[in-house]
Amino acid sequence: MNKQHKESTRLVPVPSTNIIPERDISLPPILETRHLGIDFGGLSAVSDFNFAIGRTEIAGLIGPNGAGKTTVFNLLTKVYQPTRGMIMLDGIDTAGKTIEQVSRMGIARTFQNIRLFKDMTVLENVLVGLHNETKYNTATAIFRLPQYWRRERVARERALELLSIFDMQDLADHKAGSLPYGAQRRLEIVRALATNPCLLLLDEPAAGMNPSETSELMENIVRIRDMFGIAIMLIEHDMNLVMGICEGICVLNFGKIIAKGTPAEIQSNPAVIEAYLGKKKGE
Amino acid sequence: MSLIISQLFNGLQTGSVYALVALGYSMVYGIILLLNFAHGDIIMVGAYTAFYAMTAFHLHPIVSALLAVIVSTLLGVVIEKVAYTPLRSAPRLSLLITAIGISFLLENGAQLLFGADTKSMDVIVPGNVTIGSTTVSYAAILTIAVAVVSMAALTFLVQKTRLGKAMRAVSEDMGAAQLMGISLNKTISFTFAIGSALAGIGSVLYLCAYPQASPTMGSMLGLKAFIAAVLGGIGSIPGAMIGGFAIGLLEALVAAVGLSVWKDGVVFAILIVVLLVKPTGIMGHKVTEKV
Repeated sequence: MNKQHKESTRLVPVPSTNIIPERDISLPPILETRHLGIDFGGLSAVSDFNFAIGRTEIAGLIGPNGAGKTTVFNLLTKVYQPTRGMIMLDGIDTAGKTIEQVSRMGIARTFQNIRLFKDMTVLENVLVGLHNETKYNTATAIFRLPQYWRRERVARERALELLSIFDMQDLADHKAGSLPYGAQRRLEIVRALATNPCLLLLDEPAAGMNPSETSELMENIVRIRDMFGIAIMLIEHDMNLVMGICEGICVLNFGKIIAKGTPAEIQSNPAVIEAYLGKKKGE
Repeated sequence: MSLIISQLFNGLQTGSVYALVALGYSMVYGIILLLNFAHGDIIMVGAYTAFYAMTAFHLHPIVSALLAVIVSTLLGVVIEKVAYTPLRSAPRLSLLITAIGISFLLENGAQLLFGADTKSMDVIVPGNVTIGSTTVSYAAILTIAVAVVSMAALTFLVQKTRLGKAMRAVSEDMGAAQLMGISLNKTISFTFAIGSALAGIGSVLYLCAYPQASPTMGSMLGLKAFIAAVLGGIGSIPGAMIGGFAIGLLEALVAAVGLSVWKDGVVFAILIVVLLVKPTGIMGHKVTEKV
């Protein structure tokens, strides 16, 4: 499955010369940014960020430390309001939307430094992710009407089903903060999936993982994409992971895109090599 | 022995009121880190509502109580919307000063509307029950029962419903909760509504114990409840319940040994001791600063 996805990837003529897998070409991109930028004081943290992601693409965002990768995620999720440019999610401009609203529109994310609700149980963390899927009015809950029990039961079953993706259903009643590190990272992905996203942003999902955990994670990322049919954009420093599963890669340095392309193109791009390794003497 | 038991009931009665009010302080602090000093004055407004409903309009006490709860809830939500929401990104000190301002506004507004004198009424729940040699008032039993039921309902709401989970999520990590699609405005308003409704219940129970209303009645009651919240661990819901009952029992104990005049002093001394010895209170955790 994985292999087939990779082979079907090629450069296609969408607006900003992006890599989009062939299977997604006929569809409008799930995410498209045009001239996106943000200034902090006088400093331009990200500028002229043009990027598009196909509906079922796995895209990578790489770059040296401080290049502005997490800032891009914060712009997409409206934690920061962009200074310039626009973000189109599924063809809808997200200008003026709040964090909650873009979450409901279908962007979900995980964090570089895990931000689970540590005092709540594993199950409750997923239920919080299901917040907007589980509607009933408060009076129903206070008087414990049948609808309340039904909705809570459905939500619980859904949460356990999501946890079972990572075989975590047996940990449902543990405090999230007491889980081992790797499990916390997986739970964060489950919680993000619970919000029913069309685009999942993963911020350094393999940070702190050993090689075997990382290869398991790679399989899981591809599996999630195939199961949910969603786009995934990830920030990662582990080049094996990025080159192994990403179909399109975007390289950021000092807030600007210095290269876009398939893994093979990126690996041989002189600008990328320079950004990572520095210039040769005398050049 | 019978004296001890009746003092115990007295302590639990005032403790119930403190606990209900302390819950409002703790919940609001837990979610937006604001010491809502206007919370005590919401009780005063609730008490006046119940007072006039019963004396001027001769409504049934239960109807009056419901009215007091509704008015308190609306007032709490309106205060949050008008005074605190615009300051959400402002420094916390501005929010605190605003809360004190709202408190003055409510106290002086009440003085203007209802006059500065203390208004008294007939006892709402008359009668006592005598078991053996111990006499306990019906009001005390009713107060304790209502408080326990309210707290059980609150615990269910916070632990088992989606809005309760949203509240806990927001209080743990506001940013992450928003990214889960939880509406901050709705959740915070809901928290104020619940806290103020509990204050409304507290105000009616207070009237059962002391059937009188005055514009400044909320400040001392509010301060005591605040101390109860700090003692229990501010931000913690079970802490506020424990703290409330502890302060109530302590007051009754001080009165029982004949030191009634020292009652307030002892409670404030408790605040000082807690802040010196265990600032996180009984149930509070150590807050680790987010980086």
